[in-house]
Amino acid sequence: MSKKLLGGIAIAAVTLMGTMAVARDYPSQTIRLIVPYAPGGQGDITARLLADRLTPRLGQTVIVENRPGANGVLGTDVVVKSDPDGHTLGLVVASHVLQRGLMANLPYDPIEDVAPVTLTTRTEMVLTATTTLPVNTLPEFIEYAQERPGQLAYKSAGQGSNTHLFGAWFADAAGLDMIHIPYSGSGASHPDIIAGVVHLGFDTVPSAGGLIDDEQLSLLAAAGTERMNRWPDAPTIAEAGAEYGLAEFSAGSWAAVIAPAGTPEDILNMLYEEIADILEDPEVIERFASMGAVIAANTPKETAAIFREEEALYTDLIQRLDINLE
Amino acid sequence: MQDQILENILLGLSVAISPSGLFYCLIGVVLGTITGIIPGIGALAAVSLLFPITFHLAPTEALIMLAGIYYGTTYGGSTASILLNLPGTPSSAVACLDGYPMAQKGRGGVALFMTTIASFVGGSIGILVLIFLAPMIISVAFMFAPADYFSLILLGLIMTATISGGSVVKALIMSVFGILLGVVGLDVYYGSPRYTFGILHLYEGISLVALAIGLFGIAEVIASIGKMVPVEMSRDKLRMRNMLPSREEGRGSIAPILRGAGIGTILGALPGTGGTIASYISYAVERRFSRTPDHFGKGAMEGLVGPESSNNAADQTAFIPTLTLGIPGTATMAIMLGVLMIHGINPGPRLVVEQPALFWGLIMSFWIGNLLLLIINIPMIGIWVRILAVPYKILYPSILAFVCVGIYSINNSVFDILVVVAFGVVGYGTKLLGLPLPPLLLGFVLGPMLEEHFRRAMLLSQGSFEVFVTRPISGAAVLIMAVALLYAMVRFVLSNSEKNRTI
Repeated sequence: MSKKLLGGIAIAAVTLMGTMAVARDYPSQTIRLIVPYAPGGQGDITARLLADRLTPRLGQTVIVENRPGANGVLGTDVVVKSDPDGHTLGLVVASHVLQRGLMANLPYDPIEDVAPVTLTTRTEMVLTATTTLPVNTLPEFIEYAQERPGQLAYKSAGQGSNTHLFGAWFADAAGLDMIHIPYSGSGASHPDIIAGVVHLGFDTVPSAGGLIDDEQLSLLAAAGTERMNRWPDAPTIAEAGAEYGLAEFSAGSWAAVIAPAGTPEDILNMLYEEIADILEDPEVIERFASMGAVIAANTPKETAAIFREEEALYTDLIQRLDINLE
Repeated sequence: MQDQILENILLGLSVAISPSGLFYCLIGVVLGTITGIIPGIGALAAVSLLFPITFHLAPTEALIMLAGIYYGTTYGGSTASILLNLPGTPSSAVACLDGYPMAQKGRGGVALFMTTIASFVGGSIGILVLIFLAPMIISVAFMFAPADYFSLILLGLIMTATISGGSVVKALIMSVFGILLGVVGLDVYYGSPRYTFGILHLYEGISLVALAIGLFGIAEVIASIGKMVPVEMSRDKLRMRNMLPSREEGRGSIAPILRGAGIGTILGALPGTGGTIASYISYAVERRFSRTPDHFGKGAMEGLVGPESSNNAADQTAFIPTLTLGIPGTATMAIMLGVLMIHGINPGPRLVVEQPALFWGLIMSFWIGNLLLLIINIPMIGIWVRILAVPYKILYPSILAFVCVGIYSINNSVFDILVVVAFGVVGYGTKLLGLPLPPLLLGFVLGPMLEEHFRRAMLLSQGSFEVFVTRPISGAAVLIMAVALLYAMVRFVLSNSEKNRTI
């Protein structure tokens, strides 16, 4: 018994020393920042902007590695199964916390297997409608749709994407009976919503901004909790739709840097401080602002709490609205 | 109007010919040519590698460079397809069909020369259309509803069902096999995994490049085991004179190149299609128009230059939906949208008006880039053709190594290498059985689009098939299909009854 106990203590001590040693000379090699999505999207660009700035600060090259596939599951799986020594990091977007609700055979636990470093940015979303309908405001749209149950359609960037979830949530909360039409990506839906084939949809600001300014799409509301600088006259969904059961509604996305669970806390904190510092640079703020993203820079603990909270909310919604894959 | 266009062209030229414009354009096309030639490494790998550099460049320079890579790979991709049967890019897989047989007959130089010319002409026509018709092209996209896309794609598939010339049954089998391979992955509408066997790597489908390289290149390597006869490479063959086509071939290529450019220009402008489909449709059309369809697949010049012209034209006009509607037709285009995004430029119809220097500078740089490619590629032909003189025992192992590296680099995925191997075996099997590959490729590319648009149309019409005949575009396509099918049936019955009579 005592032998076992001693052995346990010895192992614990060795592990602890090992951890401390890792932390002291961290980073000792190239750091991989895995992006579980294809190049070019919001998550990918965020990762590349950070890697560009992190490299000189850490004294080790930070390489962005795209591992797209299965809606981000493949790449995230690589991150969570890597050595938790801070040399493998990941950059995930908000769909990370939808995964468990959508996929029965998820090969990891999106909360327990992940050690969040920081929420880097939050991305604003907009609710837009086609200009072919005689409506210009959110209440007008809702009333128009109420009179035409089952005849109007909302679009999304794909089955089980966050734009699908928000569309379904919106229709449910406002009591609308609408058809869901998924597209492969947000851009692919634009011709159809402009032409009035589909009628409503959630989009990110960079994706729909040009079309809103050109009056090809009509901006019904800001989807988040606050109005946007770019279109200060547009109300939020919660403001304009309060009478229609939308007072609690808020939609948006974010990007976060994660590490595998078990990564030493001092490494997480060190990375957090470096990234938070980068995110204070006016040029970086400007870059993100032009992508419709605002700096978040939450601490590892705050980020973990956000993950838990949003996962609980979304998993509940996914089940209630019967959104599923397979 | 004319003044406006002239003004735009001059503005564009001033941006494109500025020292920095020329510099980034040259870097782009040279890198594009190189990555296109190395099997498996496509534009995507090159563009994503260079992406971080674009943070430090002005958006116009960044786009000029990335665009150069994009259409440069289309040029380079054909080289590997023709000489080694290895499609470096998805759209150049078509060049394997007739380009490789030409190279085997020792006419690789001619094939490369004509490809370069066809690419240049196709690209130039695409650019002219961009300049004069850009506003019209934008509105074309809104005329097509899901039902229209469905009917047009189906029309394309039916018209090309006889693409292989040989047995129609074999062609149909291969089309359906292609469609089946195309639907592997997550279903767009319900997200259910189909034919994935629980393998997460298959959730996003089979990669077209891996499929094409396996079917053509690896199958070729397997087939050559045991019969190593290198192409005869006399010094004589490398002279410029021997790279020029015969007068007859030159004249015969004009119409296919122009038709290809027309097809490419239109299909490139349709959101989400791009050069790949354009080159397949052009191949099918050329076969239809040909007086000697039996030559296709055995080194027919029309089957090479038509598609090459087509995919280059499509590459140019594809920028319209990308820049004005934010639709990335390809993964490479998605990165270019990303470049705009980090510089705070949102895609939209207004981009043309608000960023004239960027838009017209980019378009004029396309033409400069195409010109540079012509200048770079013609003298290189002699060097590329020499690759064929390398003994197979050195050439093939190095090809396999390049393929592995190239395929891995696309998604950083070992699984994709296994896909290539699997399709190498399948490709060898089809060779033994005499099954045609073009219908398979066409089914693979068009099948998923066919399904997506069909189901979208049905969802929107709430299950009514009426939309397919009541919409003008779709209705016209359905009518043509009906006439074509009826004609084929009548001909079949007549020829059979004639046969019976003679017996």
